[in-house]
Amino acid sequence: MQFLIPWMLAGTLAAGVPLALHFLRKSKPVVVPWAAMAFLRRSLRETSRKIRFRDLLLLICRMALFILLAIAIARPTLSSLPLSGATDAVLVMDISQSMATQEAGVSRLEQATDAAKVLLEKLPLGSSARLITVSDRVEEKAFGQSGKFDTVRTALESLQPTDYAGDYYPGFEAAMESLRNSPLPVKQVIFFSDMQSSGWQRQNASLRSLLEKLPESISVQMVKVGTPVPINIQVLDLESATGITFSGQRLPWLVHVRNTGDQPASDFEVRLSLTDDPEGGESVRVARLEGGEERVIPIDLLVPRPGRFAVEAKAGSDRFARDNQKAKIITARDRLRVLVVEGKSLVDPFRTNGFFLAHALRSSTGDANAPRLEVKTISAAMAGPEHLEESDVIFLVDPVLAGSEQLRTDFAEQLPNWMKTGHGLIYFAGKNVLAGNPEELHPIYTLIDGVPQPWKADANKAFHLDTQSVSTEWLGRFQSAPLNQISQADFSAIYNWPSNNSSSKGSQIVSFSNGTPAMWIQKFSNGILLKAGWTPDLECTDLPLRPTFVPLVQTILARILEQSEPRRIFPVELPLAIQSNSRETLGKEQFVWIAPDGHKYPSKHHYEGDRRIFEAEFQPERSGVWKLQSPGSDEDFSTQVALQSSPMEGLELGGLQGPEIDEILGRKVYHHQAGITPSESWSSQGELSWMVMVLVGLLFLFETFFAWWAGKPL
Amino acid sequence: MSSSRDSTSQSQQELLKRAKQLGLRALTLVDGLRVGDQASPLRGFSIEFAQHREYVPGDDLRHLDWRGYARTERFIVKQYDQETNYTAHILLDLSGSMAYGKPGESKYEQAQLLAAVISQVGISQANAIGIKILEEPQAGEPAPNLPPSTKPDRLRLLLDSISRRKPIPERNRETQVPIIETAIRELSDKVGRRGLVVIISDLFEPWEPLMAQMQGLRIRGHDVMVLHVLHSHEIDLPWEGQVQFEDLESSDFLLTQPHLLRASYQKALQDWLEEIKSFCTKSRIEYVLVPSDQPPDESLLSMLAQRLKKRRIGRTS
Repeated sequence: MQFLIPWMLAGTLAAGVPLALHFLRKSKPVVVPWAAMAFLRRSLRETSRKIRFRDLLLLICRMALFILLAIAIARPTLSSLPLSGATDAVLVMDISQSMATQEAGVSRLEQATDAAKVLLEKLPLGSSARLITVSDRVEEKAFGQSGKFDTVRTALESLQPTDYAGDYYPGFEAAMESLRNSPLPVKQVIFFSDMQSSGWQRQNASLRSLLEKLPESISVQMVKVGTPVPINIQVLDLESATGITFSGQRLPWLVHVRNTGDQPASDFEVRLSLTDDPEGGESVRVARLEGGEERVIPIDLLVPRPGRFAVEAKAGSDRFARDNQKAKIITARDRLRVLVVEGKSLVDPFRTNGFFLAHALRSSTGDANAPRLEVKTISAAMAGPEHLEESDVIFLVDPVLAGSEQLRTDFAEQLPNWMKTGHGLIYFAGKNVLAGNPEELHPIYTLIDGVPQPWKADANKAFHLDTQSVSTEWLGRFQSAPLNQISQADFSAIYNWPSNNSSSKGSQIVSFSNGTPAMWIQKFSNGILLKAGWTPDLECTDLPLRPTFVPLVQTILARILEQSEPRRIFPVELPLAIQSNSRETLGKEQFVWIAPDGHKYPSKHHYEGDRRIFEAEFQPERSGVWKLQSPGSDEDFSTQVALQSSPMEGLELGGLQGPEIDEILGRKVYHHQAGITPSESWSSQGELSWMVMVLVGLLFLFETFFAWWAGKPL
Repeated sequence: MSSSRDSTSQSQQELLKRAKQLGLRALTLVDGLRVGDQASPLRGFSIEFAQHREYVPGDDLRHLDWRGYARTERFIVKQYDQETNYTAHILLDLSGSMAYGKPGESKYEQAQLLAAVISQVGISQANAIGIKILEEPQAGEPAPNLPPSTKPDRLRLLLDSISRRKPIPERNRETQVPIIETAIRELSDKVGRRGLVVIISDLFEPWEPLMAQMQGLRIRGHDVMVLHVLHSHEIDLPWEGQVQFEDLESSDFLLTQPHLLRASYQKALQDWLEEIKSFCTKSRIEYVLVPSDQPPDESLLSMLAQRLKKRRIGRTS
């Protein structure tokens, strides 16, 4: 326990007043000649112990009254804030995204900084203060000592909430480290935060371990800001419903929104637009979205011309505005050329293994009269290097790999170079695979990294796709209709690559029910190779006859296209770096990054072969669309990147309570609640004055009654 | 001042007059020397018929009941109660403890008044009244001891000797001297004839031996009357604050806060009074509590009236 006005404790000396009164009043007794002395003596014998005890109790009561009064005036506080001796205080300030939440027009970060400034005022002479910010990373912002905290105050005023997710461990680790060699007797870590659950949970084991080793000389204070947010609309994701964006077409998009609050949101607008033309998009009004509900809102979007665009979805307006929008960088095409290489050229189209695939691709072109998706089907024997030039994506549907109708080797040998320039290849394994050493077989085996081994199903037990095994990146599509029904399809024969077990070769998209990978994707320089352990024909599976087949093909095609391009969407927490494939499109050597709010920051770059890697010399703290531009001319070079923040920050805006934090940390620490007006609330947080005053009042009442009963009023 | 004294004197005269009207009767049979109006244990031949008995030679023939002889042909004589006077011994306590109370309210003044009234009432009924003043043994004039006498002349001497005595607090003695107990024992030893013993005291002595001596008086056939004189302060203990109580009969003193002791003190005193009353009732001793700071009229006259009433009831029965 510490005291806000410690010198008032001198008032405890007043406890001597009852003692003094006791002796003063004893000094002049009245003398009475008396006859019935024996009765006096007898009653004294009978009551002296009782009287002595009563007197003692009354004396203690009165002395305690004075002492408690002095303690109450000295303003005791459970915490050791403010401090009674020279203190080394480390102010750890949470600047994660949720600290941007507004509380009565004031952000949580502003509340926290106000509370911190009040604390600085209360630090005793000779103290030092250090300001550390933490989100998922830590940064020391300022240091002041001997009561000169102007730098710390200035740093506090300049703080802005970032869009990073919270991870509090680094902040505590840095704070402990800075206090380790502190010469001052009192060491305090004061953490100002809205105490988001995710911030405590991300490294809770490390946090617990850190605090277990906390020296006794260091105490930890938690200052909580913020109140629960009843309604918070989040834009979780936005995606093209067709998977491929063609310019000049009004195509459907899907915007995923969620209300993370516990009360319904009503009558809000969801808007989808290009960031270059924010007024030109389309919007939909949502009448009601229940607390905790997640919904997919379909909105159409027209991209006027081919090229790279930033699409942004916005939904509603609430206290936590940071997660109300999300941007994505898309490439709009005027056309897409797809080559389907079949196993054999047969007269009966139903017996060709690429028949259903080709038709599925054609069905997704949208406009039948002016198809933007051009699908060309040829047999394996006919495929030559010349076809590579006129194809963006190639499907090899179990091509014949031996004999006169085998896949041309010159075609297969050119495929790697073709892929490296940012193209996609999808290989379906089927009955045409050959046994033997891959090195001595068809060159395609080198490309697909080995010979797939057939795995026949039992007579009455077909294989199925296991939707539970879908990888995270693809999970969104497989969780919603119609692809969530794909496990109903039967597979009679499947193929497995022994080398698929090697994680260095890419990642599994989905597996069969027996655990064998069904589809496998790997980056091939700038291109993408997707391997499937099945063939989309009726001899292998009934999937082509099911309604899930076309969406699956569209999804594969969209993902291949998306991943074969340089990445343009990053979590805001990662370093900002993008690459450009073509040196010809680049202009001057000087580039700048333009932040979503229009501020410009210098950029640096270096070459890796043909690729030019742009890196930011800074760490952007805000999500949104960032532009990389050569200055002076918009035409020389301009590209965009969308930085996206974690949706976890908007999930529980109420934050954890003291006991919950104690449970995570495995120990009890001091907790305070900073209010809307923190300078007032801070000063009363942890104070026990009112409690002591209540105690004084009760004790006074007791003393009065007791003194009256004992016949000894003061 | 003089008017208050006059009014006090008048009220005392009034008290004396009313007391004389009631008279002081012994409730038990007492031995007297002369014919009086007090019942004696002797059968005589006076006015009050007592019983018949067989004639025995030697009986005075004047007392033969001839009418009875005519009816029964047997010689029987009539016997009558011999009425006599009594001897009253007044033990007046003027020990140091009786000094308590301011003038006009002090215990000894009240005791002196009571003694005077009883003496005058007794002598007016031709009773022999003796008085013994009980004082702590001290140097100087010894305490007067006036033997019983029926002579009215002695009354003046008696009253004079009473009024001249004042209790003197004894602060140099370490312990109390049981003067009442001693006086009763001496009285019991010396006086053979049954009479009335009036004890006027605050009884602040060890109670058990005192009780035994009073019991002894009763066994010897004396009619014992206790006029218990206490000041209301001694009953209520009204003081507040820090008080030093100094014993009036010894060097003992006590510094305390009486309000803290009040309840237990009052209880102890009431228990003691109850014990005295209970003992007196059992032993057929007349007991009257007379507060010293109140006029004794009511308690004294009430006591005399009670005695008169009991006496009459005793005769008829």
